[in-house]
Amino acid sequence: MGFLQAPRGRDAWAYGFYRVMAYVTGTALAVMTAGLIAKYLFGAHVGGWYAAGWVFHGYAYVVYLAAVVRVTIRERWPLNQMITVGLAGTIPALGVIVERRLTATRRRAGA
Amino acid sequence: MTAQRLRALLGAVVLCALLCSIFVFLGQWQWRVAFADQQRLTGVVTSSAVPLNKVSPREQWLPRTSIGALVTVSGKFDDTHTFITSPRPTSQGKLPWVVTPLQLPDGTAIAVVTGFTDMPGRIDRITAIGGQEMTITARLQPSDDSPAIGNWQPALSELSTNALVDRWPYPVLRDGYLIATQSLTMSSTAAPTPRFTSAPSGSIGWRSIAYAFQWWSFAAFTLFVFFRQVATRSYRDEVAAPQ
Repeated sequence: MGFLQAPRGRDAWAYGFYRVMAYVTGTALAVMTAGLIAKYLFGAHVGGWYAAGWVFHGYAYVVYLAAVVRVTIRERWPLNQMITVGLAGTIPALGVIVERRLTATRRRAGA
Repeated sequence: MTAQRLRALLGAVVLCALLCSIFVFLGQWQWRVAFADQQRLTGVVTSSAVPLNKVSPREQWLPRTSIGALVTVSGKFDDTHTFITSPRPTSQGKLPWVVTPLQLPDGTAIAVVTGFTDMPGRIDRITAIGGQEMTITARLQPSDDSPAIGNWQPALSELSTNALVDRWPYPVLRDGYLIATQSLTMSSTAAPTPRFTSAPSGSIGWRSIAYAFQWWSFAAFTLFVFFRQVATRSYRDEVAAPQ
């Protein structure tokens, strides 16, 4: 992914927090998407966790965005990278894929 | 500031304002949804009861402004077409509602929630309240969405005007339905006796409130990013200026 750049600054804590949130939102979104498919495609009965799960995912995503902004500021990411990484969290699996690519890019750059 | 920078800043202002407006609007919408159920059951019209015709004219869709209005209406209940719904919110949890058509002197009819029961299988025990002219006080409620085809038995899950038109024989059925402010349905003296409560209670949609704050936090986030970006650019300009 060409838009992902090696960082110009370093902040292990900010980046680590972003990684954690990428996995939290990614997992929540994957589980809720599975619930969505089960409910509307297969007519499965979903319990109270389903509604609560979407609310949880919403707030986890807000924290994820805050984590992306923090790492953007600390490591001076370009604006388009921040927006791309932020939006990736709204698509199942993409948030985690982007995180994996980003981490690989950092490692190649010697982070 | 160069013309190019000015255009970029103007574009960013417009984009930020647009996004913030959308997020704030969506938050407000979710906030209204959160309280809609409670509001329609407790009523938006808190003054004394008015005649039904004043807030819901015959052969017209129920005006939005009339939802929750406290009305008085006179007519005769037609017990032969009483039915129960699937469980719906009441002050004692989810219970089936008892719905009876009220025939008005002008030839129209309207559905009236006359009570609820914890014994939906014993509708035969709900005795007649019809036959004589009655005046009741009730809250006006909007029709539910139409039910899925075949979703009729054993109980009607939606209180939809379209569904009731098909189910009941009256030439003109008024849109929406009424919730009697006190239970009108009486039970048979024969045991077992169905139990009725007085009025359903509206609940606050906590999930919608959570979503409302979520949208507003997105608006705050957009503002933060905007000002952060403007501040960063200004700083860079200042640093670059002496060179």
